[in-house]
Amino acid sequence: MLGEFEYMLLTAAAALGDTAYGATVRQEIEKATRKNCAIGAIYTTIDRLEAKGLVRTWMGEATAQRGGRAKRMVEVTPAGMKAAKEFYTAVMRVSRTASWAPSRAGRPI
Amino acid sequence: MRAVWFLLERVSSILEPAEREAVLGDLKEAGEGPWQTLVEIVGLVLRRQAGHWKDWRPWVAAFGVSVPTSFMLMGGSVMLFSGFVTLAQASAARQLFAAEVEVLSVQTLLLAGWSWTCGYLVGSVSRRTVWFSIMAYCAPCLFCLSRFHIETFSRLSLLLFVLPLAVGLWQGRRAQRMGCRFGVAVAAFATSLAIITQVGVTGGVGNPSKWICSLIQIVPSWCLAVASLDAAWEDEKAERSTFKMEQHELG
Repeated sequence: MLGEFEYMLLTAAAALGDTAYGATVRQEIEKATRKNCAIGAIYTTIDRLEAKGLVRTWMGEATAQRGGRAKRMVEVTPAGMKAAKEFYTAVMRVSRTASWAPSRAGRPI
Repeated sequence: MRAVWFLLERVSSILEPAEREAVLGDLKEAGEGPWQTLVEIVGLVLRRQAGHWKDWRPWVAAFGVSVPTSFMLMGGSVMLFSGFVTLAQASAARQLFAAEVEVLSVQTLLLAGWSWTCGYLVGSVSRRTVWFSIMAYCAPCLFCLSRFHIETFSRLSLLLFVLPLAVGLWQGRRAQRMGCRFGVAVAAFATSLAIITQVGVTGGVGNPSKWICSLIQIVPSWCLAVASLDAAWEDEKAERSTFKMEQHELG
């Protein structure tokens, strides 16, 4: 089972597709959570996910905007997508009767 | 501001080159200032260091090897130094015996070998946390140096082991793996030195407690030998399975 932050990182990377790397994933997570996210948390989580075979990373090209430094690109593997889907399904299932869950009309009960 | 950049350079050098490149690029792209960049890099370095401690190796290297052997090596250093002092006094009185010189030479070699194998073992087991293992060596040394009161001896007599230990640490950290022949040769050499020292000192079977001390001295070298044999065995097993797979594919 994934951790909450692992799920967020997988979802952000999957949504970004070909443009997923440290800075963009971080930005996506900060946008979604409306909280600051440490770059260290991103990189250690990427490593953990890579060790589990849920993402694949490689060094991408360097740009002037980055001071000529290379990007570490991230791609979600099929196993990563499966794990994220399982996490999402479990969260949805457990939240079904929660008071904060949206009703069928789309509003919280 | 220069100091911040200097610190940033120093701290980020702890990271792997590829990771440093990517992280500094990300922070530059996000438009972070030097202070924020420093905070983020320090955070990542701390996370990485903490991650290394999930493994058993750094704990064994620091608390299982470095701390106990630092005390033993200091004891060995003082004993060797006292041997040299005795020899110097005997030679001044023209009572120099070849046997004593011989035993002292073997003891010197044994201490150097023991220090080197300890350093090599710690360096190879805890490559990424070697700084902590060094601190684990330094703390007992500083403690003993502050409490050392033998008027005729210099405080440096405690630290005769430092040079071979440092060389061993450096080599162990850099080396990928010790060859099995070399590992066994080092262990056999250390064992024979320990036996020669005991037989030379006691002139026979001798004192059991001294034998125990000698056995402790050769433990690191045998650990290295066993590790090198194990690695060689693993290589052979991998080669055999590759050969079998190739034969299966051909068949």
